[in-house]
Amino acid sequence: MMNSKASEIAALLKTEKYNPEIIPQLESYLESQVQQNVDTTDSPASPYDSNANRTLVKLYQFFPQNAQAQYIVLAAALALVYGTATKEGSLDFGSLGCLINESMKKEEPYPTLIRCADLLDSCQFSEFWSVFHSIENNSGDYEMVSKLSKSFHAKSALRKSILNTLSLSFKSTKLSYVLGQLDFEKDNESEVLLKGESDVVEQFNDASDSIIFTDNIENTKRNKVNLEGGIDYGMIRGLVMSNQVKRATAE
Amino acid sequence: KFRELTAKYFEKSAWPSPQAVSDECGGDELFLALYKELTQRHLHSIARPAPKDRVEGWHVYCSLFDLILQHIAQIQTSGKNDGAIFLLPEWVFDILHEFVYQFQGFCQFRTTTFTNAAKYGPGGTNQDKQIPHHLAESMDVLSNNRNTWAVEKVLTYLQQFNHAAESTRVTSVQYLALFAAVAQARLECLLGDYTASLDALSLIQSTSNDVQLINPPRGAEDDAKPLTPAEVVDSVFAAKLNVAYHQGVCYLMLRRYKDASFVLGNICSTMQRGFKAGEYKSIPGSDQFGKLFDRMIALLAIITHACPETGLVEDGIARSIREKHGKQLSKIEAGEEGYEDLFIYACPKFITPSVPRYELASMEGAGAGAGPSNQDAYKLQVKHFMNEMANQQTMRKLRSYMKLYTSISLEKLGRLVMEEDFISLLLSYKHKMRQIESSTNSSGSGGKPSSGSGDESAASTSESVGTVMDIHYFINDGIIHVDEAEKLHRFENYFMSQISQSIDVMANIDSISV
Repeated sequence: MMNSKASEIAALLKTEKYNPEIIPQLESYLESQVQQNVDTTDSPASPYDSNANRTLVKLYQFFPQNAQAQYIVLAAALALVYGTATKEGSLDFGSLGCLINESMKKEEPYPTLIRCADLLDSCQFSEFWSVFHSIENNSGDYEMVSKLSKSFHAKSALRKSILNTLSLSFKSTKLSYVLGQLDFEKDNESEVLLKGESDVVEQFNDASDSIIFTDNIENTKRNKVNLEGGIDYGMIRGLVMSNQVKRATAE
Repeated sequence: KFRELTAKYFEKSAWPSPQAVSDECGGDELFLALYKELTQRHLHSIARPAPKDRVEGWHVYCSLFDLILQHIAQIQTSGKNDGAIFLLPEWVFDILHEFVYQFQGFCQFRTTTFTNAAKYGPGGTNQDKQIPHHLAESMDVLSNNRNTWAVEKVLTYLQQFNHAAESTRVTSVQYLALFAAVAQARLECLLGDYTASLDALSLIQSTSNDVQLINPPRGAEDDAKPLTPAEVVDSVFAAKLNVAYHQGVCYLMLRRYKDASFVLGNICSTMQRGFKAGEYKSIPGSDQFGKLFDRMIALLAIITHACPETGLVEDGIARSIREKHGKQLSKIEAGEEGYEDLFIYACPKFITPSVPRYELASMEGAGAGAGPSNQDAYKLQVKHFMNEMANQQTMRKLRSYMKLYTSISLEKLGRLVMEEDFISLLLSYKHKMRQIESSTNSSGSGGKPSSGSGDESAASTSESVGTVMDIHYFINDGIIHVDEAEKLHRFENYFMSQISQSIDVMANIDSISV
């Protein structure tokens, strides 16, 4: 169902991207993305469509009289949760913020979302979780944002993203430290996640309080020195031309 | 020829109206529409346009584009090009570039007019004064032409040209598609949508084997070969420069510093050599090239200072950066603010695309900033940029300590750096310096897909995740192990610069009269 809706929206964006009449459809699609995170017990099929959500925010930029704060907040919240989980290095939350006027960012829970994004980006994960949990109380009338912040899938996506970030710096460390960064309360829940991320976690041991991450290019020693060369034509073109000009002038 | 005639006969005045020349061309609609655009563009260049001229400009472009799209539809239906549309790349670029330029100017004009008019409304700073006549007149023109230069219509025209090339191989239509993509990339950047700006360039920069070649235009020489989209855009230097500058800004704002340095560094190197050889004097509009070059050097100053990886730019460009911005960068090194000034100098003029509610200008509270202002758009982008640059000094301090060791315990390094939550700083430094990069731009390890993230999609596209750090570190059992990053030994740059210097020395010697 969601996949067909996603295709429908993708087709709409190819031809009607700048038409304000598609705003209600994009708003409905945004709601359904959040609903997937909140309702379904299985992994959501399309929990986040950055292109569609960004188009909605952009249409609000073009037609501010149509802008609705609740959808701006929802789009930002999804970008916070899924931005780096979907594609490492992407700056979804920040780049979405470049399309949203400062006046729209003053009302809670947007300031809390900004604080969350800053903490996530600066890897202060313990503090991040306490601020993230406060969204529930800071959401005001924005019930959907509150529900999203409490949803299992949103937390799971954030945890995977944090675990990946930890695996890039740590080869091995204390399991208790990692669990603290992942905000785990129950042991079996953490075990399910860590066992499920076998491409990131090599092994972990409760008794010895240790965790070893799978080897990757960032958490292992580098020895290679690459030798590369090559000149492209652009580099010598200027030299050749200036030489020809000088010869012609001399003649 | 048009430029020559303009310089000779119409340097400070308008060309004859289309009605006056209609008989000379048999009343040809397309010819007259193109003539009107050309002459109206000249008028905008010699004098500050009045509000009515700005509105008239919109109608000129609408008429021209509607006519061209009509012709394209006929070509698509009949499958034949009757030769009605014949446009060269430079001309197409000039038309679309001016289209976006006039839109940008109009956005600034309408928000400035609204902001100034609001000052004379209740609660405004000049509420006791009479609104000046020219301002009242401007507000009238704007209120009566609300749909003029509407952003969605501007983008829709560009999108229509983009899609027109999908169903026809006519060369002029292909040119329209390509340069519409260039114009769209610029416009999206001015709106602050950097992702969309880069996406707009995908038509030009596709590296797939299926990229469609574009046939030479009618009347080209026999040995003219079909060109790739990128080659067509590169053949118009102003377009190439435009693409590189806006692409560089987008990469910088999306935290893709390696891609930004590659794109900006390449064009600046080309321009530096071109300036020395005097290549650009004959290109119209070349007086603007120097200004854009300086802005790109400022952007490169930011990037090369924030990213310690060496070899991001050529030696000549690095030298230019030091000459122009060395003092400022030293101040930043010493802990003073400096990135913001560099960015404000180098960034494009961002715009607010929405139409103000003009009736609010005469209502209570409008003077206190209830409506949009030109400052809003640019302040938003500057804030995002400064957010990205936050903690740069702390990260540089961390790096300088790590370079001293090959291994050190976490506690010891923490005592040296003396930062709160030191481990988070270690994690975040690596996290922020791991960035998306295009595999065509990458060097060394950047070409490999990111490991540890399980992101298989990165491997199948031309983008991957790499690092811009010049050191590599990881933590194992409480000990930080530090290596230098994978090195690239490239010798050709050294040889090229020495050859260039040798030629200069020989030229100096030859010029000595004995």
